Amino acid sequence: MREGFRQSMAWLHTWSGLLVCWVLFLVFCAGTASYFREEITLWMKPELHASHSAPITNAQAAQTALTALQSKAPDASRWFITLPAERSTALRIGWINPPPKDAPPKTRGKFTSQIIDPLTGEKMPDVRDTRGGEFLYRLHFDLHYMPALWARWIVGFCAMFMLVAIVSGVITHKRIFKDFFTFRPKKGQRSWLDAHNATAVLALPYHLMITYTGLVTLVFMYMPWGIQTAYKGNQESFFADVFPSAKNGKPAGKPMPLTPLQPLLAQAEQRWNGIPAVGITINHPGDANATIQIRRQEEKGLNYIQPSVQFNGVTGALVSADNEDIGGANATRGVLYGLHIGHFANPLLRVLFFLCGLSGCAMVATGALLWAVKTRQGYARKLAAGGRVGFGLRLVEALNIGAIAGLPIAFAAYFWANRLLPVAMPKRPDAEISWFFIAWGVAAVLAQIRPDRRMWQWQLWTGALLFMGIPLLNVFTTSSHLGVTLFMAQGPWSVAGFDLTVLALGIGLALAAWHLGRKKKKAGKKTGKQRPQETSEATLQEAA
Amino acid sequence: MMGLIDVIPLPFLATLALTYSAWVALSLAMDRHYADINGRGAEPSAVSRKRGRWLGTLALTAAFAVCVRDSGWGIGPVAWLGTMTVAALLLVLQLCYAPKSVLRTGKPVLWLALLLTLATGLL
Repeated sequence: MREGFRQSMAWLHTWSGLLVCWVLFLVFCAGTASYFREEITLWMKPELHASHSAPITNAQAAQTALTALQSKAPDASRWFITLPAERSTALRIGWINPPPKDAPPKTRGKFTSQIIDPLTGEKMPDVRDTRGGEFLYRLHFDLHYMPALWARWIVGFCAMFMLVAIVSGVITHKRIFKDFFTFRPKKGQRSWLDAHNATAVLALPYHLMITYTGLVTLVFMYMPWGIQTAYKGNQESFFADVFPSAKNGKPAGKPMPLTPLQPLLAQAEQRWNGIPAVGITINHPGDANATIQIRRQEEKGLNYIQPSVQFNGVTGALVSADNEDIGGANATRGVLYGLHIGHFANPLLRVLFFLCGLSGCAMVATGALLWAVKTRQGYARKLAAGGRVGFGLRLVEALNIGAIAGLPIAFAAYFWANRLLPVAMPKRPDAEISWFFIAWGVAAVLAQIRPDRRMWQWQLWTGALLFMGIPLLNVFTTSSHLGVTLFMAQGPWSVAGFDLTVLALGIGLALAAWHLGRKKKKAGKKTGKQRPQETSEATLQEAA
Repeated sequence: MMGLIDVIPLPFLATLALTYSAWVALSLAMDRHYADINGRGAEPSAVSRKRGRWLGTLALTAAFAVCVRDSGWGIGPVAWLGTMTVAALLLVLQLCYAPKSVLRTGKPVLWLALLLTLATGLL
């Protein structure tokens, strides 16, 4: 009976994993990169590297931002100010212009955002337009080229399968403690299983946490029934309870001047015992019903929900102080959400999260490869007799190449595009993203045409060279390359860290490709002809 | 500009050294890895097996204490788990590609771990 249970769990693990593994690989890779979302964005705006440490007080920055908004977007329905903080030192303003009068009802206003000079309020000259790390962050749950709602259902579906695969995988793994430290390279299927086990088991707390909390981040969408029952279908009043920023009344249509911002900021920061504010939202600026919301910087804690205060935008009176004493359920959600996004992490802990994320990528990749290696063995006799592999195996092998070797090429292409496209190009962010998908599309199509060992090698080498080339590309296209940031120790350190990380990833890919080539030569010498594809290289796991 | 000491704080190094030596001790209590390290056919004695397990458990507990003391009950356990993962991945690679070197690194790192733990002011 026990054996039977384990076998059925093994079946469940295999198919729940295989079905969603390529989407999961994308989600894991993009999600792992998102730990350094701000740093990636900074890296992708080399014009800001020099002005990285211009000290300015919050009050000054807020005033500059307000003046800029008043001149740039006097008719906007909402203004946003993101104040400089530890990880993102730029002063950013944003606004939503109301939709045109003749637009169909329910049309949303257009959101615009700019990084401005904290002293003059002018748009920073010639800062290239890019979505930076934000694109990778959105990619990991909104995908692209499709409505965000569909994407979130797809990603949620895959995450649910992932959770099933994790639990069934633990049950299936008979030797979880005996094989705890075991990795035996160069043993074909055995090695893949070892690599899959090691990357899964050693980072198991992380995998469980990230999958479960990932589902929790979108729980209101996946499981709305509790809310529907408790709030009798009135979703809006629920959201107003949970998210204070959603409290957003209608404009009165009567113009009234906005109250000065600085006293409110001082009042808020005093309320939080000196912890600075991070963002300001102004609803209906210049209207009699204007409100001003000020949000607090994250304090080092797991809970991502931070206090905020609402002021009347005309009189400056305190309307409400939110999230200061949140209930148990909301606090639980806050902690789970906080664990997922890891904003509480100092740089070191962030690196640990990143490494665990890479381990997750490797786990998904090795799992996908393991299926192909195993299934190919079932064809051994047929292949020896000159037969061909089945459609399913061919498809999986091609998808594996396109995802595991192709995705690094796409990431690298995105970063290359950021450096190579003309700075003043119109629709620049879209062009960068196109490069990502064109590169990936080409890799995926080529993989479908020729899913063999040579294709693995080509794509791994391409990814490796592109990644390793990024620091070199920087030398020619920016003045904040490793020679300046690292060897002359001028910083910014996060930019140097980015270059070193892509260099390391490139070396990992190169090792995988090199290993694959060496193995092929050996196999060729031994048998005199090319053996069936045996993607059993241990270093491939680093490719992830 | 942040100094190096802020980027790589002492408690993290102590935790890394503690968890690494814990994994070494635990792996030395296992037949396969004992044989990998000490040569084919070697088996740990009952005493050294027991000692390895105790030492490993103790070091992991100490690492937990260091983490919680440094970053509190919320973030401490997260840091502890993350460091354990990284230390274990390091040891897996070492056991695979240079098993004999574990004998050379195990003890010094354990001493270093004690020293660092002392330095963080826990004991």
